Amino acid sequence: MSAAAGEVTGAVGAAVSTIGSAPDDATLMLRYRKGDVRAFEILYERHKGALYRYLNRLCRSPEVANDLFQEVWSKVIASRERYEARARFTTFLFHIAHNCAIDYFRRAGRPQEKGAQDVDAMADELSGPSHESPDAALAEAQLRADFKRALDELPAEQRDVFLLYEETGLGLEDIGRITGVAMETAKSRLRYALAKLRGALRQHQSPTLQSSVS
Amino acid sequence: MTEPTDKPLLDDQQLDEYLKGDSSVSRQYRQLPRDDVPPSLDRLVLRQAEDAVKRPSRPAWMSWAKPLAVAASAVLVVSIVVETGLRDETMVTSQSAQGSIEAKKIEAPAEAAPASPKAEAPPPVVYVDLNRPGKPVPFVPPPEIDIAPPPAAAPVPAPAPEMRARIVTREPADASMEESLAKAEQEDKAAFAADESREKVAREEDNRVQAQSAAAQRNAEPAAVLSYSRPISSTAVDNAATLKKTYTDPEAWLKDIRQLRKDNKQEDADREWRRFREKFPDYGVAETDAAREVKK
Repeated sequence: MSAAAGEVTGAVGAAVSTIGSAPDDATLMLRYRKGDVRAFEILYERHKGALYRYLNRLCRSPEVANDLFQEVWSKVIASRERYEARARFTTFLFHIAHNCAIDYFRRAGRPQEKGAQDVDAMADELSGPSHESPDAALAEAQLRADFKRALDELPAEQRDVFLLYEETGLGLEDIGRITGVAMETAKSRLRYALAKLRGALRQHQSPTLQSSVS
Repeated sequence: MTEPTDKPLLDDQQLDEYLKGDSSVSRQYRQLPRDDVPPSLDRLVLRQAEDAVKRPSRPAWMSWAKPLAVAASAVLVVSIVVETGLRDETMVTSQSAQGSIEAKKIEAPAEAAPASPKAEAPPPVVYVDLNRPGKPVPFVPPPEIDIAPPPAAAPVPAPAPEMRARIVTREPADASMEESLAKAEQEDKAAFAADESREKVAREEDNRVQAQSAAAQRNAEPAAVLSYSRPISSTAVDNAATLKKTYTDPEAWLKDIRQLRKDNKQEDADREWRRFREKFPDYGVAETDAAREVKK
């Protein structure tokens, strides 16, 4: 499942919270509308990680991600009076985030396609904590670096859909609603993104990774 | 956006496997280093949220300000339109009222008033209708109407000459004037007497005709009773109307009787003929006239 499931984020996280007798996102937002700051803190804790990763990996710049992150939450705070629990809060939040990112891309011109970084540098950056042998550690670091590079090289629309799916756990219909396209278009974009990412993983197929890539 | 086609696409089964959540791509994605929100950013956002709650929000009435403003504007516009329309109407009414007043009342010029003991009191105004010569009738001024005078740009049209009233003021004049006035009064009296006699003759004639028709109605057979057990047909209604009709013109009556005979309603025609004869016993009807009752 997506990263959202493990981090109490998005709709899945909201569902888990409800089961655990914690208030759901809509209730928290309505409580915040009435002035309960604590409700907002809970809401923020639930969604901040997924939102930040989405923005950071979509824009590929921590500075831009910081700005957009703040902008998104400012808009959520400002729209608390108008908020109605008609849709999931996750859809509401990431819809704002998507629009902020699109505005950023428009302001900055075409999305900056990062060139291939030095694999060694990326391998250093992405190296795991401990490995049995230096060769295996290097291979795994290179795999992660290649995967990261493949993700960064995805066209913005495909990366957007992939990140939304991984970070929110929303269905394709909701993702289409957030990105303003039909569900079939979102599905097609996700299909292309997955094909490219699987291609990056296949290049590193080794006896140890064979099973996981297939 | 056009999707590239150089890469091999996933089939539906592979996509479904991915959507189930347990795929190598998802696992690899989750192994990417976690990007955490900087603590400073956390503090910034939470402080912003707190400040927003502390700040007094927009008063509730502000949400109604816009619709209220629209409603008030609409009411204002409607009232202005209505008021303007009413004012126009009032002006037209006042103009016509003023016109009618001036048509009836033409006051004597101020210089014609002689220096006499009665000069202080205004002379009575006498109204004489030229269309009906007769006794002069003292003019009763219409009740005062508190209406703004019409604008100077719109002059009151002068009354038609044949409708214009002649105003005679009783005031001291010289001998010739008095003579002519007396003569005119005599002529008026004579004309009034002649007119009265003519009216008397006409009134007597009317009374006679009315008495005859009342007698005829009393003697007439009762009107046909319509059966209400079935729908009233249009012909039945016509017949009833014909039966109840009161004629003043004998020719029209005869024409209707002829029509009844033509429609093969002999009984109705005979009844109408008898009524006709009762009302107009001396009216000349040709022996061969179709309206006459068929002798059995």
